[in-house]
Amino acid sequence: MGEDARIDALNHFLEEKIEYYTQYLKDYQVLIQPDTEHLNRIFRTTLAG
Amino acid sequence: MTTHIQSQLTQLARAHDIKILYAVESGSRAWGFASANSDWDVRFIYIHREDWYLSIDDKKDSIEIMLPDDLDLSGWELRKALRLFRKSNPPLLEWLNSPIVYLEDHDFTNQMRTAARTFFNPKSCLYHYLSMAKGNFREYLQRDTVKMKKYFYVLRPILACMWIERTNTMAPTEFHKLLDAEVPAGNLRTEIDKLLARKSVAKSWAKTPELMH
Repeated sequence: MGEDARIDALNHFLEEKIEYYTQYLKDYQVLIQPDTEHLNRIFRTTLAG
Repeated sequence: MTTHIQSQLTQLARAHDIKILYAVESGSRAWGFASANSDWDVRFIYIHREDWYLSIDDKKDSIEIMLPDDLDLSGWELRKALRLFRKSNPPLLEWLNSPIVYLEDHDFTNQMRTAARTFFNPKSCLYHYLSMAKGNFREYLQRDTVKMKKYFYVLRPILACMWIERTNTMAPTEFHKLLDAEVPAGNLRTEIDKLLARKSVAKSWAKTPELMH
């Protein structure tokens, strides 16, 4: 019985967090402009190296 | 096993005429909750000779090989890796932080780790970890019996979400670092520690009573 209680607590925590982050991402706004030229430089220098 | 893996990677590089820039352990062994019979999940990034790129045809940009002893080798060609990196690919970011490194070109990894700070996209990583947690929760934790390791396959991505929300940086690969940072002493931590202790004595992943009611 003790084990059931421990497991339920863990599941409750996980379920709550899943709900929280589902909502969190709905509200999350971020704008990122990837700097592709930076990655091109990594490719070129590695190929040359 | 490390020497064996390094030897297999060297043979693979010779056979495919590639240079392996970085090779690490991923998955449960890197996360720190592998069991004795866990696979070896080796992931690597490689580059071809210049001539390979001077072609009008697209070519295969990955290598996957399953070897005896549950040794799973899987690699991405550098341009493929960089395209995924541009999208803040979470597995790739995890590889860069793996605690188990088999091969490393430090010039390359220094550039990648520096760039990772710029290219890290919290939203992309949160989606990845949340999706993993949801999928594993739905698939494994709502049955009458569950395998113990499945608890960790939901716990780890949730703790990673917590880390990303709190720090706005990529979560560490190792589970114990996430746990120490995100779950302070208390009832929940005690339950997780007990689960870890049970797991560590298990010969293999046994089934345990139902989680969900």
